[in-house]
Amino acid sequence: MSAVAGTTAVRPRLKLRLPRVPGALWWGAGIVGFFVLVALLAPVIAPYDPIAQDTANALLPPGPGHWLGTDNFGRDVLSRLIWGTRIDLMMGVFGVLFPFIVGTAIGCVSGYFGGWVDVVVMRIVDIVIAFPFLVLMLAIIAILGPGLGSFFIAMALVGWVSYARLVRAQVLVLKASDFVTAARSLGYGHLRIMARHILPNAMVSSIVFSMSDVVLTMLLGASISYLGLGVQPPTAEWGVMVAESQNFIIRAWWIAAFPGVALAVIALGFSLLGDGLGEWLGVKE
Amino acid sequence: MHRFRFVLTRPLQLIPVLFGISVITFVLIRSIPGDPARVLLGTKATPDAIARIRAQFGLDEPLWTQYGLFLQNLAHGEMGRSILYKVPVLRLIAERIEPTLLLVFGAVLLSLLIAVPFAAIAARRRGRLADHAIRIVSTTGLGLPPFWLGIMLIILFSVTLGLFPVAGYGDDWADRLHHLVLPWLTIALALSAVLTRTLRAAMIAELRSDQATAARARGLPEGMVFWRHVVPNAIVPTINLLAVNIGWLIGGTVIIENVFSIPGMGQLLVRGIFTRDYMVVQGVAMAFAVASVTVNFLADILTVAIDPRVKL
Repeated sequence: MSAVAGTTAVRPRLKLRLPRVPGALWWGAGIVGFFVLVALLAPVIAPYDPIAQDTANALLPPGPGHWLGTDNFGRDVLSRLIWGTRIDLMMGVFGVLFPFIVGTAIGCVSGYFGGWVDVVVMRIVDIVIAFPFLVLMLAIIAILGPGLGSFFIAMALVGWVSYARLVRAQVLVLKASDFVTAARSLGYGHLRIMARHILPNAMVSSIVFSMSDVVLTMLLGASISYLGLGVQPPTAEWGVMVAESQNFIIRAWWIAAFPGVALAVIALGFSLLGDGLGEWLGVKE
Repeated sequence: MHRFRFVLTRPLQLIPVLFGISVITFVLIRSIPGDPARVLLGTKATPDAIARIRAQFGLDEPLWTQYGLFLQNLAHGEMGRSILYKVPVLRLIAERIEPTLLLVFGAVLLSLLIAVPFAAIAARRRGRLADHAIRIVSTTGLGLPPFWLGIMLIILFSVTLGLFPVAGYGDDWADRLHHLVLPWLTIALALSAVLTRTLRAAMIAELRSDQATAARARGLPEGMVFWRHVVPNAIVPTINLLAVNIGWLIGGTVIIENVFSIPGMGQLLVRGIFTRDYMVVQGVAMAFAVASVTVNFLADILTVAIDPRVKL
């Protein structure tokens, strides 16, 4: 009987008696949703072409016509900010998605099978973690050459370790649980047990973690672009905008100021989303 | 002294990690497309120099022999020469280490000076206005891009108020400290956001602990209970948090050195990438990795020294 009870317990796992949705989750979802909308509607809502130069109107302060002013090439800061939302959101989301997939797969296999596979994987994790994240990213980008593609590859090569660790720890606990024993006694294969029974439960905490990871990844992408090693000018990206503004800070504060504000607000959105989601699903940090 | 036995055994466990660091750097540099000798020496290398580096790094030998030679060179403190600066990489790093160390230590100190009082206020007034305000500010602080924060501080304190230099590094000590104030503040503001959150949680847990109750039962005033019994215990998780964040801190230093044009290791690394000075990139990356491993080891020793209950 216990085996049957165990398997039925698998299905309603997400129908857990969830507490009231915390306010942080609503606020976070609202902020993030707003930026997603801005990114999607960029061609419609941006008043100007983000890379069209208009030197006659260079370095105009915020005012009617150009709400957030113009930069040294006369490009509209607001339009660049709106188009930049696409790139920065993409860096955050895909920069987390690839490591998430790679790390989850590796962590799951490592924890489930154990033995020498686990030993080898965990040693590799230790070594990658020993490197300061940005330094290893920069070293990889040094080889691949600057660019958005290099950023994503470097993220996948370096970022998977945190997910592998998180998922492995969960899998170690789950594989000893009754419902997995039940699934095994029903004669299910390893793949089915991992994919259908263990992973859905093991992924909750890494999904919550991925929200705060999006913040870090977006900041990282913008930082690397600021250093000149990520997204390349004239593409409108917030880090690039700040880097280009630096020679003009004495005369034009607005070029530098607004991209950072946008980053901070969207980061706050994802932080709230992560915190709220964690509270809601009962995941401890 | 039984508890400190790990001080002797832990370095043995670190050997595989250090080994792995050398493997990763070796593989990274060797995966650059093209003739390794030309990659390492640049396009203007003389045939003579190419022949020399071929012999020194065994570039005609199989890969594992090359790795052996790489380790052997490393053991002799030989990390190659910079193409751009024409000096050994090790010497370059030694010249650049001071600003970086000053930047990191100053920033950590300053961030503790910011975080401890704020965490204390938030923990002691939990759920009240001050607590909420501090939580909102620290959550926002987590998302502030350090490079942008640095530029905002330059606009405010250097351009508008004229209090500090815009960028660079001074000649004498007083001048250097003057140049470092804004870089310190930039990193410290970002770091204290993380620290405040953890410290607050640790302090709240300690406020409810048995030993805090016991101290209250002995009739100690709440202020004394807090500063003598709660804070020292909340410091231990903070040390670990700082150690865990050393990688982030090094990354932050790399960025901030570039924002403020500070001639440290981070600037050396980024310039090395732009100039394809791969020996420099390799050397600095390895130095940073070893530094972060060392810091974690030192943090373990410190934790055991401070907290008699901890066993490693």
